[in-house]
Parts: sequence; structure tokens; C-alpha cells
Amino acid sequence: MGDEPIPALDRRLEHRVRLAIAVLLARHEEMSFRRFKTLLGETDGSLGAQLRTLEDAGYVAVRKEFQHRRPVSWYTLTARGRRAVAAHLESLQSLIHAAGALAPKPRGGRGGGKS
Amino acid sequence: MPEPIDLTGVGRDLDYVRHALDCSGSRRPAAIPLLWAGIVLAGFALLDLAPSIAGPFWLVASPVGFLASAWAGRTSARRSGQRDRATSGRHLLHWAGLLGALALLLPLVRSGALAGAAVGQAALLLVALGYWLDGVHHLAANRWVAAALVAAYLLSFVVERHVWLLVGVVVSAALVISSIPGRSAPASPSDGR
Repeated sequence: MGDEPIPALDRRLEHRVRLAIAVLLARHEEMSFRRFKTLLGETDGSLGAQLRTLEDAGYVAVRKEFQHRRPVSWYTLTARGRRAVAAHLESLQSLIHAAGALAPKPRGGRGGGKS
Repeated sequence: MPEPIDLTGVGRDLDYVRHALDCSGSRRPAAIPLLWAGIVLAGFALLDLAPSIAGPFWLVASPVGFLASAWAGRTSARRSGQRDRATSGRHLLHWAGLLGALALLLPLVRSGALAGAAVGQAALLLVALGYWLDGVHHLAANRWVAAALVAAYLLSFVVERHVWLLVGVVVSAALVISSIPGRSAPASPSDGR
């Protein structure tokens, strides 16, 4: 135990905005660009770039709709994206466990070691 | 050699993701409890003031209110930019189940097994259970509506005059309070892995 290699993190999900987008879409089925903007507090340009990166990777799919004659972009997580998020979160968890195992043990206690 | 990973940064990123998730909980549009507050007030008042039309009123108002609520939920999701078909489906099943249970009281009423005030009391109990379960699984504010419904149910045994009008006022007030923004939060914001 503890000798297992930590699976590699997904570079495309290492950016916190992209990770948040993917996790939000894993929880909620479909979200609009404006909703992401509200939740993540990003500018149009930055958010658009992060969404495009995920779209290019095949992790999210976009659908256009008109509401009151204005275009609205709705995003969903693809099956590939869902697998990527699951694998990335698993890797993060392994990494955090490994870091916890390597951290110096507190002295003087009765082996508690709670964080 | 792989780059070292900044665990503090990872922790900060995860906090950011968690915050976004917590803020993204589905919210119920205030129009739904307000609509039901109106229906409940009118329906229960009729039981006292014009009992002959109270039955037909509930037969029409319940399914119309259900459909109007579904439409309000759908419109609100579209406007907010967040659609959860699975969650919406669960909500629909939950309330359709309650509506079905209420409709199944009719054979008991027709057979005479349930009559007079007991019809309203049995309906109140069923609705209280429906709100309680919704409060536990979906929307915490509905637990208070369930508590008001149970209080109204108990009240119906002790009050003698205009009891249904009083029940309508109590339940309506609970519905109006549950519609206040901030009380329409999901039962558990971090739920739903």
C-alpha cells in the first residue's frame, strides 16, 4: 500500500475555471454561458477561452438557442468529458492521500494525526 | 522529471470549485409557493363559506396548479441558465405522486368510509407528508410548510368555528414565508455527488 503510482492529472482540467466548469456540468445537466459567468466571476473573454479549450478536447458540447431573439449558448458534458472529470478527481484524491501519508506525523499525541 | 505539484494551489482550486458548486444549487421560483398559497387560501375558505363548490374547486385547482407549477419551474430554469432534467423529473414524480394519493381518497369518500371533516383532515395529513418528504430530499424550506400543515391538522380537532378558513390562513402563511428568497435553498447544497 502506498507504492501504487498516482495516475496523471489531466492537463486540460488543471485550470481551476475549466475544472469548475466540468464539475458543474457533471452535477447539473445543462448550463448557459451567462450562468457560468455568474457562478465563476470570469470575464466573457476568459470564460469563452476556457470553454473553447474544453470544447476542443471533446469534453463539452455546445448548443445554441434563441431567447427573445438573443442567442444563448447551452453547454453539456460529453461522455468523454464525464470520464475525464472522474479520472481527474480520482487522481487528485490519490495525490492528496499520498501527500497526507508523506506529511510529518505530529509528535506527543497518541497517534491521532487528524488534520 | 515531472514537475512538483503545488498542493496549496490544488487546495485553493478545490475551494473555488466547491464554492461554485454550493452557489449553483437549484432554486425554486417564488411563483410556485405563492400560487399554492392562493389556491390553498381560496380552497379552504370555500370549505367553510361555500362547501358546495369547494369539491369542484379542488378537483380543478389541483391539476391546474400542478401544471402551472411545472411550467413556472421550467421557465425559471431556462431564465436562470441552469437546467436539471433529472431533478425536475424527480420533482414532478414527487408532486404527481401526492396528487395521485389525494385523488385516491375519492373512492373512500364515495364509499362513505371517509366523510365530513375527516376528508379535509386526511388530505391535510397526506399533503403534510408530501411537503415533509420534499423538505428532506429537495427543499429544506418545505419542512416548515409541513410543520404548519401538521399544526393546521391538529388545530382542526380543537377549533369549532371557521376551522377550514383558519387552516387555509395558516398553510398559506407558511407557503408565503417559504417563498422568501434565501429560504428556497436546496435541502443539502453539497449533496448529489
